[in-house]
Order: sequence, then C-alpha cells, then structure tokens
Amino acid sequence: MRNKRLKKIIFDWYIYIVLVIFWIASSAASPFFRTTSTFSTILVSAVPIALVGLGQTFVVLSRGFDLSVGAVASLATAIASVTMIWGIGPSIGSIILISLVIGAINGFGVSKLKIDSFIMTLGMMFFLTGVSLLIRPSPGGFIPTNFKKILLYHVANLPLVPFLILVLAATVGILVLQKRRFGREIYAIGGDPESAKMSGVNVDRTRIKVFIVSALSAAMAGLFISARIGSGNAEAGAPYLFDSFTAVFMGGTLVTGGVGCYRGTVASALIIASIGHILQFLGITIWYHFIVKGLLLAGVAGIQLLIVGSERAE
Amino acid sequence: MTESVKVVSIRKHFPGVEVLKGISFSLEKGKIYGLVGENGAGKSTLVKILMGIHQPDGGEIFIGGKTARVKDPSQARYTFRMDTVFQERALIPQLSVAENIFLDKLDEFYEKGLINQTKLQSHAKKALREVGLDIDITLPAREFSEGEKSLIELSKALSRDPEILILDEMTAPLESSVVNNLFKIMRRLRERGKTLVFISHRLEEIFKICDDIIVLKDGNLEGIIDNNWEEDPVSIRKKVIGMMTGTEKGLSFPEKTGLKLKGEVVFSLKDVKNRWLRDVSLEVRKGEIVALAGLRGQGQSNLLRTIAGLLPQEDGEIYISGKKIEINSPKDAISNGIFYISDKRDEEELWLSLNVWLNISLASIDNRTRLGFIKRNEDKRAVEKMVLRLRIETPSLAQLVKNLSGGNRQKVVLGKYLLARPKILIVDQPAMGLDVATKGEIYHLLRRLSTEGIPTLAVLTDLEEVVNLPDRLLVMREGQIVKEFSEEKMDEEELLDSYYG
Repeated sequence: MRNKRLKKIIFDWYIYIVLVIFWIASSAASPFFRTTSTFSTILVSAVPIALVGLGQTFVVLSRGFDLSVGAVASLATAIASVTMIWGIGPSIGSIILISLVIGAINGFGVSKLKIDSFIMTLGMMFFLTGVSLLIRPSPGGFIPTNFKKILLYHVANLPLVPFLILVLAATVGILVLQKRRFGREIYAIGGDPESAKMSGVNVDRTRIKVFIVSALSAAMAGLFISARIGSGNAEAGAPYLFDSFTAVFMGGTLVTGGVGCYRGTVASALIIASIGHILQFLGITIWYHFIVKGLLLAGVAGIQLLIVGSERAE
Repeated sequence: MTESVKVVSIRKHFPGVEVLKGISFSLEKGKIYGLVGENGAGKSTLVKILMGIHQPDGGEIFIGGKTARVKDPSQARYTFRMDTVFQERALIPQLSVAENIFLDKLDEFYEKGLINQTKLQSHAKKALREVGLDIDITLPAREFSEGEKSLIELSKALSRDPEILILDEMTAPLESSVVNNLFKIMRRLRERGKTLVFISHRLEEIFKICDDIIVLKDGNLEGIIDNNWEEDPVSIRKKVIGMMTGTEKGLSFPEKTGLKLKGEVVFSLKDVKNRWLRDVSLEVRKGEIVALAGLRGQGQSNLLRTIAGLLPQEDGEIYISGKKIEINSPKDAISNGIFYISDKRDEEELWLSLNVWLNISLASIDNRTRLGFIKRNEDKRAVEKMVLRLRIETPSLAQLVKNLSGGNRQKVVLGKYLLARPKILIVDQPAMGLDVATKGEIYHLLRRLSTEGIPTLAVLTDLEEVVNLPDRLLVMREGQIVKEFSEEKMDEEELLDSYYG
C-alpha cells in the first residue's frame, strides 16, 4: 500500500524530477547555465510553449488533436502588428474574438460535422497560414513599446510578468481540469465518449468548448510572441505546434485521451525551453537540438511507462 | 392504475437491418415489467430510443400522458424522470466512483467555483449505501468488478430519483445474493409507485420478480403476458419461451451419433501436466463431440488453453492423427490443425468494426494468394460458400460484424477457422450468451461438423448442455479428469455428485 502510494507520487511528479535533474546536470556542465539571465530567458521562452500547450492538453485529453495552434499564434502576431497602431485594447479584443470564432469553427467541424480533428485542424492550419501571409507577407509591423514592456516586465533582472503568466496559466489549467465540471467532462469524453454520452455529458458542446480554449490560449501565446519579437510574423507561431505536442506528451498525457494533466505540460515546456540553451553553452550545433529533443521525448515517455506500468495518474 | 409510459408504433432501422417494426405498449405506475426476447429482438434499441440515444424513424412516445420527444439522455433523466442501467456499462474507467455517480451534475458540488470533494464523496457514499455497496469511492471505476460496476450504476440512477427505471441485463455479472438484494430494492421502488423495466437473459429472474412480461420477437411485440402467481409457472414459462422463439420447445439438441460412428482417434493427450493440470489423458475420435465439465475453474478452460499453446505445457505428450507433436505456441497448435475458440468472442475472436468478409478470410488468407497477392475472386467465393454453409444471416459480406447478432458472430468465428481446414476444434463454451434458438443452431452445427470429420472438444457449463450435447463427458476436478460419462441419457444426479467428489 505504501509502496503503491510512493509509486503514484513518483509518477505524478516524475516530469518535475526529470526537470530538476536536467537543470542540475546542465548547471554542472556549464557555468553559463547557472546564471539568473539564463533562467530568465528559459522562463520567457517557456511561456508561449506552456500557453499553446494549455489548449493542446485540453484537446488531447478529450481524444483530439489541434494542428492549428501554431497558425493561430502566427495570425495573432500578424493581426497585432497591423492593428496595435490604433490601440492596444481594441487589438487584443479583436484577436480574442477572432480566436473564439476559429475555435468554435474547429469544434463545430469536429463535433457536429464529425470531421476527424486531425483533418479539421490541418485544414484550419493551412487556411490561417494563408490569411496571416495576406495580412503580413513579410515580418514587420508595429508593436507598441508599452505592450512589450508590460508583457516582459522584469524586476531585479527577473521576468516577473512572464512568471506570473506561467503561474496563472498553470493555476487555471489545473483547477479547470481537476475541479470544474467542464474539466471532468473532458476526462470523461477522453476516457470513453460513448459512456460519457450515456451518462448525460453533452459531448458536442464540451468538444466545441475544448477547441475554443485551445484557439484562445494559442492566440494568447501569439500575443506574447509578438511582444518578444517586437513585430508580426506569419511564421512565428509554426514551431509551437510541435512544441505543444512535445510538451503534452512528455508531460504524461496519453495520446489516446482521458489520462494526463496540465502540470506535466508546464514542466515539459520548461525542459523544452532549456534544451536550446544548454546545447548552445556547450558549443553544440543547432542540429543536435532536434536530436536531443527527440531522444528526450521518447526516453521520458518510455521511462514513464516503465516506472508505473499500467498504473496511470489521473 | 395510472399510465406512466406509452409507446405507439415505434419504428427504427439501422443500415441493412430493421430493428423495430412498429412497437406499441403502455406501462403503468407501481409495476415491474419484464422485457424479454432473443438477441436481436430489439430490446436494447428500444431502451436507447426511450433514453434519447437513438431517435426513432417513426412512432410516438407518451410520458405521463403527454407526447415526449426525447433528445438525449439528460433530457430523459431530468425532464422525463427516466433512467437506465445500461447493458454496456456507462462508467468512465479513469474517473473516480464518486465523480462517475454525479458526472452530469458535478457543478452542484461547487464551492467557490470549484468541486468540493468532501461534499461530493459524502453524497456518493450515501448513494452507494442505498444499493448496499461499501467501497472506496475515491478509486477510479476501472478498479472494480463488473458486478460492483453495475451496482455503482444503479446507485447513479437511483440518486436522480427516477419515476421510470430500466435495468438492462444488470444481473448478468451479479451473484445470487446480490440479485436477491436487487430484487428487494426493486420491490421497494414498486411500492413507491415507480415503473420498472427489467431485462434479463435469465428467465427464472424474470418469472420471479416481474408482474407483466413483454415479449419482443424480431422487432415486433409478440405479446404481453400477465405473470399471474396463481397460474402454473411451468405453463407461463412455456408460453413465454414459445413466444420468444416461435416454437413451443426450449433448447433443441442434435442426436448423439458420435459413439456409433466408431471413428479413428484424431487427437489424444497423455499425462499432460502444468501448473493447472495434473496428468490429463484423453482422446477424441472422428465424429465425436467430447465435453469437459465440472465446477467452475477446475482446469477445464486452462486445459483448452494449454492445448492451444496459450499456456506452457510442462510434461506429457500430445498426438494428432497418431503423430506426436510439440505445442509451444499458438502457432504450433494452428499448424497442426488444432483451432481454439475462446469464450471471449468479441474481444479475442472478432474484429467487430471490420466486415464479415475480412473476419472470415484473414486468418487463412495465405491459402488464397499468388505471389503474395490475394486472389480476390477465389477469396470471395470461399467466404461466400462459408456464409451459405453456416447459414450466417447477413445482408452482405460488407456488413460490419458489430451489427450482427451474437449467434451470427459465433458462426463467423466458426467460419474463420473452418476455412483454415481444422483437424479438431477446441471450443470454450460455444453457445455462451446466446439465446435459446441460436444455441440450438450452434449445437446442430457442431454436430454436423463432427459428422463431416471435424470433432469438437468443448468446455460446457450449462447443465442442460452438459447432459444433452456431448457423446462423451469428462468431469474435471482440481486439474484432473475424475470421471467419464458416455451414456445416451446421463444421470444428472450421478453427474453432479462427480462434480463435488
């Protein structure tokens, strides 16, 4: 019994153990890694991954995929870079509104029209990439300094606002999934959609809400990216598609749905953001970046199954 | 006597099958109704229409005298006060028992916008007490047995205080003491004026608890029988079975012809031993059906699984047509013409979401290829011939197996192995879960196959089967064969004595 509980604790916090080991090893390997400025950069780079990963966690838990998250983020940067000239508030408002519509369309296609989420969001990805390129054919545009300053606000060399964004995302993500009816219904649908339906869960409506959350969180990531790069870029969001899946799966959420949590996605986002830095400090070329990411994803997911076998965290 | 539910000419079809052909009846408050019919008679579809999972093609539903269009299960539960314990268990394996019970109203347990676990759990505990279940409700539902799960579902339904409660095959996994407790709960609900619909394959249960029995056959209402306590129970039973099957008799068994044929020995075991078996020796001759029987878990199924190469064999010899063979894996068994049919038909024998053609063809597809490519026409002809030979009822070869009835599924399994030209079939409970008429059909089929040269070694559990089907019967106890019966008419008393030793 005690052994079982220990196992569960290790399983639940496993990815954090990996994160800490990774950080300790990196700090030992390179003196540049163990500086506040490195940790600040890692934190800032982890924010968009964690944000995109928030929605992706919801979608994967409900037995779906959202391939349009990167394109939504790109679109947000493009719209921001064009509209912020008329004011930050209206710009953010219109981005939120547009992302709600995109999420609703994805969700409608998947639930009501029964289009497989992979296909539906793949189509959406192409469509939105095209729209972003129309709005912003080449990187540029205007992002107000105030906007950049606020989102990247540092106190004593530490990125306070990005840190708060991460904490807020984690709190909302974890509480909604674990402690709200909406969250539990996502697990129910991921566990067995037919049973969920028989139990009275409105499967279609919940699915639509899941895709809205995903588009909305991707748009928020896009806003953060535009503050970082200080411009709009129709391709800036693209890499975050794969990073979101890597974070979700490395974080212990199962591709089959119904099992996983957002906690793991956040830790994985931090690991992903760290990989680039340590390799850079060790003087290893960028190509190895991908190799390490690949090995880490396979290794982490594999060991996860080995530790606890069929026993899985909620 | 007030009416609670009335259905009027409800019709429903699925691609290729007309499941309900215009059913009408009305149910009163304070009564328990039995709903019986063979597999495929339309019981489950009717339940799903009442619960709003399927929409009918035509007809009307009245609840409390008013027209009711049930859109979805939520509406059935909360607007029309109707609930069901489904045959396909509707619990989510990963969620806790407490969450499962209140899944569609978790927001009622909010405190400051978040689910309060303490409150949720105390309500769940109370709901489970109603059905006499004391379990750890924080564990995920997958940790519990089928019987416990069905009681959890009952408590889930009762917690919503339904006026109309449907129990679809709820008793199948329950022990008899639990069934008695369930009956107590049902009687209490009846006293409180609720309407209950009880669906069960075990007719004894139906006769024991129900006031009226609704009989469905092939999507039609065959009749409603008053389960009058004064009338002779045997005659009521005969009447119901007669309506269900269309004939007056219950199970029909083929004549025992295996011993008269005096065929050669096809298959034999000599002192086979492993963790589950102690020196088992037996032989099976051409033309025979040989059965293994005994109390549950005395090694019968494990003997079959050992022969099939699914369990390791430690000692002993296996012969096929007089030749000694080694079986270390399922592949060895198959290549020697020994085909094992599991009792877990849907999980281990079939691809439910593939069609009839592929299900029958794939296992032996290598026999019908040229240079690695499938000879499509030859393959099709072979499958078509098998469908005719076994009288598999399917609109076409393209029908998905999940749309077939249990009996036809079992025939698809048989067809799959017959195409591979077996020397012997070893079958775990060939007629399990089938209705009376289909059981008979499977028995006759096995007999026909054995006369045609493919004998059967089967595990049987049902006493009627055990006595009437096999030519020879081997009783097992603690991994050993302890007695053999080969009389035309077996003495049931002597047989049961041998079970207990």
